[in-house]
Amino acid sequence: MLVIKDLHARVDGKEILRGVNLTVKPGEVHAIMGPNAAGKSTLAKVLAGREEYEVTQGSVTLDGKSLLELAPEERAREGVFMSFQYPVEIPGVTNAYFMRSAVNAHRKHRGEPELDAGAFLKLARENMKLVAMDEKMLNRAVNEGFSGGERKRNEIFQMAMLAPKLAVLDETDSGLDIDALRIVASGVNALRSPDRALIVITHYQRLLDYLVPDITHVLLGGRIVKTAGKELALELEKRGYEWLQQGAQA
Amino acid sequence: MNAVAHYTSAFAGSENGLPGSAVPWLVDKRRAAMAALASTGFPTTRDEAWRYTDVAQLLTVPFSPATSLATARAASLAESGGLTDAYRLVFVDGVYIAEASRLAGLPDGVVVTNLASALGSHSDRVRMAFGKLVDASRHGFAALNTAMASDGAFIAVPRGVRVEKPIEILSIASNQVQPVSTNLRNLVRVEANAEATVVEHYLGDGNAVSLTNSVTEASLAESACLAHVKIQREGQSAFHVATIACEQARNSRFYSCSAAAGGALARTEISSALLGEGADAQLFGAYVARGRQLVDHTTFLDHAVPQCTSNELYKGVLGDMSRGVFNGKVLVRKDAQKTAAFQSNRNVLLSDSAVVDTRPQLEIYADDVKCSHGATIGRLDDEALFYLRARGIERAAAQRILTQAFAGEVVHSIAHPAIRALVAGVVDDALNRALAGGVS
Ligand SMILES: Nc1ncnc2c1ncn2[C@@H]1O[C@H](COP(=O)(O)OP(=O)(O)OP(=O)(O)O)[C@@H](O)[C@H]1O
Ligand SMILES: [Mg+2]
Repeated sequence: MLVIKDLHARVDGKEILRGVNLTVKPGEVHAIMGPNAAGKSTLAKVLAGREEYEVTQGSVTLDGKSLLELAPEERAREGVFMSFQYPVEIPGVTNAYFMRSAVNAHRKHRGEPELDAGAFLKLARENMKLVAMDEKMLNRAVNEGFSGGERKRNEIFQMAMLAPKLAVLDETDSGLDIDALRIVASGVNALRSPDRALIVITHYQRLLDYLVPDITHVLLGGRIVKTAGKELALELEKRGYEWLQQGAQA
Repeated sequence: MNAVAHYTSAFAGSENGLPGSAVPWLVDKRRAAMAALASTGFPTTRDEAWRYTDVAQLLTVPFSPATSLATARAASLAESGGLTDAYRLVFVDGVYIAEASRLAGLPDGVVVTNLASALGSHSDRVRMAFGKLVDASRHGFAALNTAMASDGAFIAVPRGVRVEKPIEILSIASNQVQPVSTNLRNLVRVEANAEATVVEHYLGDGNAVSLTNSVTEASLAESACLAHVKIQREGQSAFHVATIACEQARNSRFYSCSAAAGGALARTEISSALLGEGADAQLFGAYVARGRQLVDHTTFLDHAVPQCTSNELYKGVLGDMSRGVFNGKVLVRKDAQKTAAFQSNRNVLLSDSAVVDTRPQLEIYADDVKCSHGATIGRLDDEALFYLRARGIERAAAQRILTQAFAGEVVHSIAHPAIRALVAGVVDDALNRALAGGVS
């Protein structure tokens, strides 16, 4: 489904991604771990199309279609979803208006009629249940004054609404309390399907107890330096990243 | 011929046709105003309050009052463009159009009429109000208006009466071949415990070069409440100068909202004198400009007595090579202890060539006050834009959503739903046009 080949990206004249290779098949869950500043969020944003990151080399395809030439909104409508590590506040724009605009942009792209207010509300209510989100959040400005945990639930709610092919979840677990982690993870699990792939960026094993990865990668110094099964996360928890640094510099 | 000479001769030629030409006090007032204009002239960028708003180009155009009118067209424009459920006075090129106006069903004692009629029916009240808050010495445009006012609205709400429906003053600049000037003089008096909503609505029928130069004087008695909404959406070649002055007695409340979308140059000057304790002034404004438009809001709040409150929020979105100007002065006099005055001017630039000149000024002579002011000039938030796009929303739609939300804070301050909807529509249209010029 997703094929990343030798991806290099820079920002502010600094090279952050230095040759990432990654292949994700439909239905798979991939975990990406790695120390702070390794480039994990950068990879997520490059996939989503954030323009300030300049791709200098390599390719990214989704079902054979190159993503790099596409605008962020086009990628989203092709089925790429990124859950932000730090979702922004958008004062004055309600969650409902935002999501209805987004859902209808996707529907328009697929040649489907737009959802009216009633149909939208029905769909939104169903999906809010998935992450146990209070319905009142729909009428609040996007993320404005939301707690860290509420923001993360809101991200997964959006994922549910947009039903992407590929979801990249950037530290969806950070900021969640223990119960919320379980709720959000089970929400994500409910969204798993044979034709949907997940890339889960996290620092902690705990999330992976719920969202069991098929494959675990370590991103370090802008490259994937180690790829293994789900047991890798446990090993990293014990040993840290130092033992991998050598390989990264080589 | 320079502008002063032009208007001096225009005045001499039209004086006898102006309303009140047989009313001695008004004749004197008009002549004195013309003399004041002749001696001081029009403002230039050397005047502090006009530093960023250059009217030189406007003054090269020989504007004169309209000679012929398309009244039938006015009626249909008023129907399509105005508020549906409102009392209404319609003026085309400064001339009152009774057929297009709608005054039936006013509550007992409420007077809504055109100034020319009021000079007959309410002569004493007109005499008391005309020139009380804005006189010819304020600036050349106020002088010109005083001399040349062709008509306007006269609104008086008696003690304790609440006028539910808005009162709309609809001024239409018709598409004349000659450059036409409109000088409307509006007088509003709200008595104790009375309440009214007045909308000044300026429309342009086409893109003719025109000058609208209006003056509104509003006087609020104790515990009176006036909501004043000004909607300015004249054509791209219109010049517009409006002066709105209010005086407030004890515990009165003045709400003002100015939505400015049209015109080549549009200046709105709003002032209020808080003269009685407990008076409150809330001033809001939303302006959207594109092309080479210049939009100016100049405000002045005079806190003369203790315990008054004021709040100002002006927000602008500027595209292309447009300019936004904000001069906001708050004066807190020595006796005005316990004043609370807040002022904010926020701007979003859509292009590298758009410019904002903002000058918030606090002049405080009392020591026990809470005052603050601030101004920002920025771009659309990149992070927010990306967030919306990352969810599949088209770039242009995302820009629209963000600018609407930005201006929405001002639009939402309008209490009356139909007026709010009308203003939202005007602002959204203007935003779409400004965004169509591209965002850099
Ligand atoms: N817009 C930017 N401008 C400058 N530097 C940037 C920018 N974005 C990322 N970087 C730098 O790139 C490096 C990688 O950042 P990134 O956010 O991808 O790390 P990360 O692996 O997600 O870390 P964390 O685990 O702390 O979230 C960091 O050194 C960061 O400072
Ligand atoms: Mg990160």
